[in-house]
Amino acid sequence: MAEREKLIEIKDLQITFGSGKHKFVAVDHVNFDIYKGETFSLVGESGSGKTTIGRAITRINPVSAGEILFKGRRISGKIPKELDLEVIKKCQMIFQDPMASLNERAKVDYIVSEGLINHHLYKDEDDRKQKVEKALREVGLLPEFASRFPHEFSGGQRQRIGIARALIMEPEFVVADEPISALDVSIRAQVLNLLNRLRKSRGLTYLFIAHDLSVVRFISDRIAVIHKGRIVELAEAEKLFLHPLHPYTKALLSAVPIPDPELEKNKKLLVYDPSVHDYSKDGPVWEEILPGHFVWGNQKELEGYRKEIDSAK
Amino acid sequence: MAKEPILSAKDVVIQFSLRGKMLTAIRKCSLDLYEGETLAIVGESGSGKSVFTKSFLGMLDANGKIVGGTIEYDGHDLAKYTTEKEWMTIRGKKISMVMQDPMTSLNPLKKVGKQIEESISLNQGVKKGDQLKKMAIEMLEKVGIPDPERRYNQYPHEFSGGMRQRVVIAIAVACHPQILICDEPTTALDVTIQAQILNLIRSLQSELKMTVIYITHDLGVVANVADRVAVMYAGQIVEVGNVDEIFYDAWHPYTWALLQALPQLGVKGEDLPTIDGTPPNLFNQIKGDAFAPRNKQALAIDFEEEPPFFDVSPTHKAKTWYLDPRAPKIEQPHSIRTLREKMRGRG
Ligand SMILES: Nc1ncnc2c1ncn2[C@@H]1O[C@H](COP(=O)(O)OP(=O)(O)OP(=O)(O)O)[C@@H](O)[C@H]1O
Ligand SMILES: Nc1ncnc2c1ncn2[C@@H]1O[C@H](COP(=O)(O)OP(=O)(O)OP(=O)(O)O)[C@@H](O)[C@H]1O
Ligand SMILES: [Mg+2]
Ligand SMILES: [Mg+2]
Repeated sequence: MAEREKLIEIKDLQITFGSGKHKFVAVDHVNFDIYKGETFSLVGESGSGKTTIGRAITRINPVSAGEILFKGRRISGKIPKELDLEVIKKCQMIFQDPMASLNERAKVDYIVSEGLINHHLYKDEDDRKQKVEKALREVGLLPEFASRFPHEFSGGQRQRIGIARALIMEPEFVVADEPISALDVSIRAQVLNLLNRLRKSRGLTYLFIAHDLSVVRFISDRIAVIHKGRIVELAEAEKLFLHPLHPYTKALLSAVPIPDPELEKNKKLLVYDPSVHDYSKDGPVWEEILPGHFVWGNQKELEGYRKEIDSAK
Repeated sequence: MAKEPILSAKDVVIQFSLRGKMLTAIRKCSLDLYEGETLAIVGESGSGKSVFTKSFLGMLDANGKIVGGTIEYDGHDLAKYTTEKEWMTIRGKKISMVMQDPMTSLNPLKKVGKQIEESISLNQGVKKGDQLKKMAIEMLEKVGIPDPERRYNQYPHEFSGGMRQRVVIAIAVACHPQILICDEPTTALDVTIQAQILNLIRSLQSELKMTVIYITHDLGVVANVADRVAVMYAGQIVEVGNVDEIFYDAWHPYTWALLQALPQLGVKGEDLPTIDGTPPNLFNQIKGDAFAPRNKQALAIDFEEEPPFFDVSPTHKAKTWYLDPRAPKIEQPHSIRTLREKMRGRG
C-alpha cells in the first residue's frame, strides 16, 4: 500500500479543564491520524471527550499536553498568525448544539455567510447572496429562509443552517459534531450524500462524530471508539462492526437500535464493566493487533484478543 | 378500540405570524392518545411534530396560535386556553415535555442541581433543603450521570451535550406527569446510555402510569419503544397504526420514502435514496395531497383534492388516494415488502 497523506496527526493528546483541586482530565493519551480524503469517525460514550477533541483541532480548546499537526505543521499551542488564519479558513466545525451555536439576533443570511464576510471571501454582494442560496439549497432548505431568524425554525432546519455555514467556506477539513442528529431519515440521507459527494469532488476530509452508529457504519472509512477520554479501539469501519475486540466496543455495538420491531425487541444487550480490566501490574498499551486495527489493553488481554482473532478465521 | 382516549386533538390548525405574513404549521391535524400507551411521532423535519405537541401544554412561541380545532383533555378544551394561569394547571403537572434543544430549556446561570430541585418542589411540594438535595442527586443518578454529588454543583456549560439532555429528562419526570412528551430525548446520547434512558422512561411509565409520546427520527428507537406510530408530513398526520403495521405494511408514499432512506439499507460508496424536491412552503395554500409534487407515482387526483383517511385495518389508517377502492391498483414498493428480510440479512 502506498503511503497515504496524513492531513491531521494527533500525538499523545491531553486536554484538561479547571486547575488545582478542580482539575479534570477530559482527554488523555489520544493518538490517531486522519488521512486526506477519508471520513474518520469518533464514537463512544456521552461525555467521553469527542467534542473536546474536535474543538482542540479547530483551535477552540487549548491542549495541555501532546500536539496536533495539520499537513505536517503543528497547529496546537502558540502558532504564527498566518497559520492560525489558515486553520480558521480550512478547518471548519459543524457544532453539536445548533441552537446554542447560532447567533439568535442575526438573520440566516448573515449567519450562513459570516465566515465569508469576516475574511472577505466573496466578489460582491450578488456573489455572496448566490453563495448563501446555493449553500441553503444543498442542505435542503429554501432560499427564502435567508431572511428569517434561527428561532423561527424547526430543530432539523437549524441544524442544517449550521452545516451550510461550515460548507460555504469551502474547507479542506470539517469536524462534523453530530451533524445529522436532528434530521429526518430522508434529509439525513441527503446530507450524507452531500458530504460524500464533496469528499469525492473536493477531496474533503471529515472527522465525523455521531451517536447513530448505523450512519457511522455507512459513512466512515475508519472508526475510533472512545471511552472516558481514552481511545480504546480503532479499525476500518466494517472490521470494527464485524470483529470488535474491546469489551466496551462490543457493548456499544450490541446497543445499536435496529429499525425493525421484532429484532429490536429481542436484541441482547451486553453491559460493559470497566472493572474487568486489571491494570495494577500488567499495564495497558496501544497495540496494532492487526494491520490497521488498534486496541488498548495489557499483555494478557491482547493475548485473549489474538486468540479471538484466530478462532474467527 | 373501545378505550376512551386520554387526550383527543381534532382538526387542530396552528399558525405563526412572521412579519405580517401567516405561516400555517399545522393543518387540521387530529390525534387520539390512549392511556398508558407509547406513541411515537416520526416524520419530516419541519412537519410540525414539535409545534403540534407543544400546543398540548401551551408552549407555542409568542407568534404562534391555535386558530382552529379542539384539544380535549380531562373535560376541558385546551385549544381555548389563553392565559398562563390556565396553562399552569396543566404544564409541568399533568403534561410535561422534554424539549428538543436541551440547552434552551436549561438556565445557563443556575446550578444544575438547583434546577432539578425547582421541578421537584413545584410539583411534589417538598420544601426541606436537605431532602430536596437528596432527591435531586438521586434523580441525577437515575438518569445515569456519574459522580452526581459533584455534578449537582456544576453549571450547564460544564456538562457534555448528552449529560445536559439527561438533566432535562430528570427535570421533566421529576414532576410525575400523566402525559410525558419526549421530543428527541436521546439524540445526544450514546447508544448504551440511550438504552438505559429508554428503559428508565419505560419503568417510570409503568410505575407512574404515564402515557408517553416520543418524537424521534431514529426508527430504531421507534421500533424499541412504540406501541403505535404516527407519521407526519407538512403539518398533518398522514399515517397512523400499530408499530408492526407501520414497519411491515406501510401505505403512505411518504412513509415508504422514509423507510427506504434508512442507512441500514444503504450500500457503502453509493448514494442513499432521498426524496426529490423540497417540502411545501407553508406560507402558501396547499392544494391536494401535500406530498404529491415529490411523489413520482402521484395520481392525477393527488394534485386536485386532499385525500381523506382510509382504513387499512381497524388500528391502521393512511391519508392517501392509493387506498381508495376506485384508485388504480398500486402495489407497495418491493423494498418495503422485503424490509423485514433485508434487516435480517445484515451482519
Ligand atoms: N468548558 C468545560 N468546562 C468544564 N468541563 C468541560 C467543559 N467542556 C467539556 N467538559 C467536560 O469534558 C468531558 C468531555 O466533554 P465533551 O463535550 O467533549 O464530551 P462528548 O464526548 O462530546 O459527549 P457528548 O456525546 O455527550 O456530546 C465531560 O466530562 C464534560 O463535562
Ligand atoms: N416561532 C416560529 N415562527 C415561525 N415559524 C415557526 C416557528 N416555530 C416553528 N415554525 C415553523 O413551523 C414548522 C413546524 O416546526 P416544528 O418545530 O414543529 O417541526 P418538527 O416537525 O418538530 O421538525 P424537526 O424534526 O426538525 O424538529 C416549521 O416549518 C418551522 O419552520
Ligand atoms: Mg459532544
Ligand atoms: Mg422538532
